[in-house]
Amino acid sequence: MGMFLNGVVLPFQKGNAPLNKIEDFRAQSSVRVPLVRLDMDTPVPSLPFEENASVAAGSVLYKEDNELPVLAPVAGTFGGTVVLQHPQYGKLLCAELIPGDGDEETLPVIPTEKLTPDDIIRIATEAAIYDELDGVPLAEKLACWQLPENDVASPNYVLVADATENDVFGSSAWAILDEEPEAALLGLQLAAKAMRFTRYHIATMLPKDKRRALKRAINRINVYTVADEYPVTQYADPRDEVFRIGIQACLALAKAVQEGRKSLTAVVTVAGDGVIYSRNLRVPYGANVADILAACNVTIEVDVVLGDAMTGIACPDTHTPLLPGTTTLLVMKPKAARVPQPCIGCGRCATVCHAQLLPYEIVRRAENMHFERLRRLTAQLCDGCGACSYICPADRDVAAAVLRAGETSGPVFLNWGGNEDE
Amino acid sequence: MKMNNNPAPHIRTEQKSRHMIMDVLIAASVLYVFSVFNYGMRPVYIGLLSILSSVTCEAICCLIRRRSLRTLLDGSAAVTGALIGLVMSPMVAYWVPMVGSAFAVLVVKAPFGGYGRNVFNPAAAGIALLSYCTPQRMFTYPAIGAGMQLPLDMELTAQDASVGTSLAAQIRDGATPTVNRLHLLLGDFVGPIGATATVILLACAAYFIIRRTASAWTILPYLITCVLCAWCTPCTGLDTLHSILAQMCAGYVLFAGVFLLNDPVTAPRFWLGRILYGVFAGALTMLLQQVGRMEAGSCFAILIVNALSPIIDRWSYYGWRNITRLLRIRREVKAHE
Amino acid sequence: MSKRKTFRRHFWQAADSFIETAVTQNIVLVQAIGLCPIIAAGVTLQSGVALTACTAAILLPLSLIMPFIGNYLPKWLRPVVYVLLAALLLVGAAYLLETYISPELYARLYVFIPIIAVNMLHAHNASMAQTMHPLETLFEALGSIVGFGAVICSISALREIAVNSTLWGHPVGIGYVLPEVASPFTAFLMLGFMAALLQWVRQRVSAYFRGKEAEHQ
Repeated sequence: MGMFLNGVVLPFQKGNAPLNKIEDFRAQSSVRVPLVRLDMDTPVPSLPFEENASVAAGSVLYKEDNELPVLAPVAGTFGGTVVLQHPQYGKLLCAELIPGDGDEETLPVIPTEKLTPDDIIRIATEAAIYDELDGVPLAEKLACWQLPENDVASPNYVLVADATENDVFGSSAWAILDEEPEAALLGLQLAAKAMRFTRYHIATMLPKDKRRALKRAINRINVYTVADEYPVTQYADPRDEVFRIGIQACLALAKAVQEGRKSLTAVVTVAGDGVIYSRNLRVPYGANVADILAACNVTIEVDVVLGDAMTGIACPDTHTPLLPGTTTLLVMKPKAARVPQPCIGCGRCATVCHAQLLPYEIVRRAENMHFERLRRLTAQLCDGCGACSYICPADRDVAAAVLRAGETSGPVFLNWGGNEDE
Repeated sequence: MKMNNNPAPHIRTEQKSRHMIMDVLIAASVLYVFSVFNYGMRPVYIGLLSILSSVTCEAICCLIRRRSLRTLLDGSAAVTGALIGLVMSPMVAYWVPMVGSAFAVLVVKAPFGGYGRNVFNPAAAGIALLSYCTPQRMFTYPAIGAGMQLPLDMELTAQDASVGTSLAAQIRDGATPTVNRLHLLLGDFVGPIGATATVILLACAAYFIIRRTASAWTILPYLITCVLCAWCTPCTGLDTLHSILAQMCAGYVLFAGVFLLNDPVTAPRFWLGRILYGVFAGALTMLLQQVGRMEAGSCFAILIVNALSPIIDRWSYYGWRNITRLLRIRREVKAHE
Repeated sequence: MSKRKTFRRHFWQAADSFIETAVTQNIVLVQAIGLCPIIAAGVTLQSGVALTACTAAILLPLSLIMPFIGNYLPKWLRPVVYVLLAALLLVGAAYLLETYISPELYARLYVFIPIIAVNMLHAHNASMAQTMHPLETLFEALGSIVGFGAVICSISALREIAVNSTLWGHPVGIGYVLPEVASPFTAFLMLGFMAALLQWVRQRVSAYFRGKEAEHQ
């Protein structure tokens, strides 16, 4: 019971998507590629293309110093720039591409044995590989975590390719493991080589027969099975320090090194009760959500969520491009607004919290504005996994309130109320 | 296209708080049905009038506080009324449970902010008030007989039904309880409407734990503490097992543990706090059963631990967190050595 | 500063503290001092008034004496002297009550009169710690008496009506009697509701004034 198991067991709603092949998706209308964020007074960059110039897939549209190059995900013609509001990244300046026919630019292929760690990081940069877990460039992660040569601490460190998909609907990582397990493992090995790690494995939560097939395909020791709970707290042995990258990033790295192909697409699960059946699509970055919905024959009025059910962000506009960091597109039938009821004190939010917090107490004190009494409850440790909101029988948005409380209980509020208010 | 702006998560668990309340109502209705076989329709009327009173008072409070009357649908007021009706004597006057329910809602629940914010369990407070103010009516029980039909008059006198001595009174007076084990388990002895059916009460507890309406962390420590205390203070003239069983069935001990103690609003929320809460409540209940002059000792015990429960909750949480932190630090230090 | 101005300043401060102890920070309902006599002895209006009078007989002289001698005493000796003086005054008050007013009333109250002295000690402990103007302490004592008296008189009147259906010994004419109201827990309930009422009124008033201020700005 509560004492022995943290986290919740979510319902299995992945459907047949992990069993079917990944379908290819061809963008029909425009594809929008973000160039810069416009949150500051950024100067609008000048592009090396004129309007209606034809662009090859994978060609560099824009490059800033110390940043990943912005690549054209599809071949086609350049249709100018647009400014749009993205729910995840804020105000973006995007280049608009009209998909057409064209070639794909590739990188020169170097034999795998001759690669040095810095070569791998350079290839990850040139291929514009993003980690799908959080949308951070893979090269940045590799360079940040890279160990010095002959480091003694390296046996404690494990590089984990996260293919758990422990959320409700997402199954893209499972589909990738099903189709190309060897390539994914090669990418993981390359990443481990770049970081000078000696230990690495793929963490996953596949059904039993799939797991057996995977263990036959790649070596058994490269697969780690995580417990079926949300959120996953153990990606490796509890003594080890875990460094996580996404499985799609691994696959992209393997493709870039072996075939010289740049990372232009992501595998996205389209699921939810708004689509007839859930499926995995290989979608070019920057494709419109409306295009994807049309490809999935969605004709009714639906709510779209970028990301999975537990942590996804509601998408206010269907003309939003799909950007790195999103592997699930949740299509839900519109529901009546939830009415939060008073907290009845069932204590389930504390039971499921993997950070061992007391969400109900944090929320209560934050609602009563006892900010100075929040300090001992360490609300800032919350990572917003949403398990407490999921389990709350009174339909309250516990996780959002705890995150807000964690922001306010910083050093500013330490002595805010003084002792007189207590 | 209309788009939602709900924060994550976008799916929720199927179990809602109204289901938890429905579970309690279902369990209470089972006890009412059981009492029909013993006393006829009178207990059902008592329960219905009690529920009517509490719901009416809740509606009045909703009107005063300018809340929508839909909040009545959460059913918490009905639960309060049903629980108060369950511990009445079958021959109690109809107005007694109605007064108790009205007190529970108007005084104990509504002024603190209504459902979810009350400090004390309203049902326990209502029962405590009644047992303090009208002990004669509360603790005069009819003698039990198969298929007895109590008359449905407003007030019953000693002529209408033969009065029996309740089990709790026998134990308190030091007499040897006259009920055998099988009747103790089946609830075939003199006592309140719903608090005698031992097997049904235990089944209700199991139902609550399986449905996760109530936490096993409260019920089991409470019951274990009660059994231990009963084992330490045996009844005269009974063997150990029989004496423990008799003391557990007497008064509201079992009923309070299953229904009143598990009200999640007034109980601690952390599991360690819940264990301590159950242990405190059990020890206090048995103490009040031994030395108190009222059969409703468990209600007073529950009111007392309700007042302590926020402190128990916080201290147990901080204590547990510090212990686990110390253990983790020690483990890390060992690993580094 | 002229003497007149000083007096005026002290007067307004004193009036402020009077309002504070009597109403906004009511000595019983907010500071929870002097609960014991109210709960145990405040069953009839007569005893309520008698207890108020005893409180006044102790507090008023003490509040006039203490500012003058408090300066010359070390801090740790002040409570001791305070208690001794209160006990002395109390003996006098109790004697007056027994001989000239009503021996039965004295017999009913005699445990609770010393309790008042100790309770009032806590009430004035804070004000004794720093030396104050006698005017201020006097007004504060008056505020305590008024606050305490209002609560105990209203509660004891209500309880007398409910228990005996009388008020100051005269029948009120309600045929229905609730003897349970004489028990302590009803007094607790009444105090709780009165405290809640006071909080509600305070919130309403402060919200009103805040609204006016916002309008003004």
